[in-house]
Amino acid sequence: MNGLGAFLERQRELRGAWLKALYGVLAVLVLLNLFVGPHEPHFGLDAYPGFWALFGLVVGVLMVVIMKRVVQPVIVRREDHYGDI
Amino acid sequence: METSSFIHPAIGFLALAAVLPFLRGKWWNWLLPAPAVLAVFAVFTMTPGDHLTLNWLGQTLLLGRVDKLSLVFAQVFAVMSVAGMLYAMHVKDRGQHIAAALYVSGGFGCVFAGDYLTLFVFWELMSIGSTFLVLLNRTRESVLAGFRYFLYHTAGGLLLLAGLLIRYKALGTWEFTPMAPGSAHLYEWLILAGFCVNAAVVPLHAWLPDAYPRGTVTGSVFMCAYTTKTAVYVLARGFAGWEILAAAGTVMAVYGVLYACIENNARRILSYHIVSQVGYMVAGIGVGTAMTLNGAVAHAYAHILYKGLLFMGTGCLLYAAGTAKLDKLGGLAARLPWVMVLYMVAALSISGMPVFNGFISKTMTITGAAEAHQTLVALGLEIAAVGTFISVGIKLPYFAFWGGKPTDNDRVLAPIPWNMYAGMSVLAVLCILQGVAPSILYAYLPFEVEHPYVPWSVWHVLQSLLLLGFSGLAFYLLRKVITPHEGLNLDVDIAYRAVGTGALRFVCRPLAFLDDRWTEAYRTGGLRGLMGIALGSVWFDRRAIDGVVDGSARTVRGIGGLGARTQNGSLQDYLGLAAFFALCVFGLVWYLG
Repeated sequence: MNGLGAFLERQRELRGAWLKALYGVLAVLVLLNLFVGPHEPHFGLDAYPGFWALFGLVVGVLMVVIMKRVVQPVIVRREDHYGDI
Repeated sequence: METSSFIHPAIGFLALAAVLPFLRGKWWNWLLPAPAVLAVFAVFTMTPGDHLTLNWLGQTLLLGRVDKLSLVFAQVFAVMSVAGMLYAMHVKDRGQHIAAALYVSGGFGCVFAGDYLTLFVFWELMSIGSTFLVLLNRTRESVLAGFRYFLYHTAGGLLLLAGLLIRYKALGTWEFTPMAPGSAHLYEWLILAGFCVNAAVVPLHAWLPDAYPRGTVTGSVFMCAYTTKTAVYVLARGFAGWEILAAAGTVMAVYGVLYACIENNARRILSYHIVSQVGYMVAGIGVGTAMTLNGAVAHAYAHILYKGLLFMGTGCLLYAAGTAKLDKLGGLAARLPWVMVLYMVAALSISGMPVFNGFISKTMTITGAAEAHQTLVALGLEIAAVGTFISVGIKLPYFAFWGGKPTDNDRVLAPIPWNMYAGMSVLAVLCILQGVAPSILYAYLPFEVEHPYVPWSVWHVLQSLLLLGFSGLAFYLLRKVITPHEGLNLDVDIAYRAVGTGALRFVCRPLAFLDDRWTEAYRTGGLRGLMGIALGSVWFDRRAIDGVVDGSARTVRGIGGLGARTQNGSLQDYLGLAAFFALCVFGLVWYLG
């Protein structure tokens, strides 16, 4: 394990701190969004602060839940379904 | 006086493919990057204009059309070939290098082709070269996938051929010029369909996630760069502003990320993301304003660099750990730290994170689409951006390098050769350079715009960070849901596999039936009669013919043996022979014509 590897290993123990940092950054971004907005909104709604935050979160959650919980159970087969492995 | 300069970048690669089988010694692998370096030199020194015309069968073929559009694609092809050849230098199997060289030369040939005949020849050369990059992985799975890949691309090539022949009949020219949007000639649709097969336009895309995860470690790196982007190039040249492409591209962008979300094999996740990313380009071409066309070209450039790097990173995982399936990996960050870092550069690039090159290309297409009032297109591309970050930006590296598992100290990892790191580093540096200084890329964009796009504005940066940050939060909340599992997700290839199996049955069943009956009839009737005749002829044979026949029998046996050796049932040999005979016939026709 080289220096970088050891560094990454140490970061695993600091997981909680990293998570707090992420929440902090997200909060700062939303705060900034109150003051900085688009000159020409593309969709209308994106003129409101927080639109893109909500968009990322909602689209992300819906995509994962629908694809993993609804779609995949219907279309998944065993790995050798076509008998070509 | 202006000097005209043009070295066709394909020449070096063709020469490499020709001499590689005959080189002795250990050092031949140092020759591999040579044609790539020559290609870079050629691209940066060539002058715009028409070069290399060839008269063939009464037709004038144009092998070197150099303009801004062909130059920018040739440039990124050349840069990518340097990184790809570096990455592949340790591979001992010369067949893989020959296939890669032929394939890359086909890519250059297509980009500089000024007429459809030249385009078609190099198009097929790419198809053959890339088929071998899959076959030469030498597992049953890969050989079958390579066979399907070849059939599919042959069918696509035939659509293109039919289109260009009908077009020649109608217009009397092979010239490869833009098609006016909205005109609805059959030949235009056929050519478009042929191009769309290679661009992996949904629902013609299933060959891609079928074949690319099964190619060789280094072969897939080449394939992810050239086939789809050559198709993007010909679409940009021939079909700019065709509205159907805007819709098709948006569907591709979303469809690809949805499948990537549920896939387990790292290289298949990336394959579905090619469909998605090429969707951005196809959509940009379909919208057809100068800005979206530039966006498509810029995105193709950036995409080749980061997608090559992504396939290199997952290739390292496959090479070192022996698998690219995420449910089998995890806890490798501390053991493959540099692979992780280099992979992350590409992952953040594809996600459009500021500082990396996806940020300066992706946003250009989206902004262009929105400014052209294609709101649905822009919305679809934003949705795809969320999915991209979730699956390639976080899911793949998380489950490969961490996955909530402790550091995996038990797994035996094959040491990764220096040249693989070198190839990756070249691309990683370029991804960051272009992201930080967009003009490095923008300077080469082919279309004139009134107001140049400025990616580095406070709002663009903030918007990207908001979108990506909160998609990341969505991943974190659902990391237990998105955990990948083994399994095959059905895709539209179910249809063509059914056609294939059906056709096989349609041919085999009647033949088997006939064969059965014939054997039966032969056994009861034919055999007895034959025995009688045989007894009679034995006498005659022993006395008279033996002497004469023995000589010719030996000859026949010799020829039969040769035939048996060539018909050994391996597809690669058949393909090779077929290509060889085709070339002989080609040469003969050329000579006699």
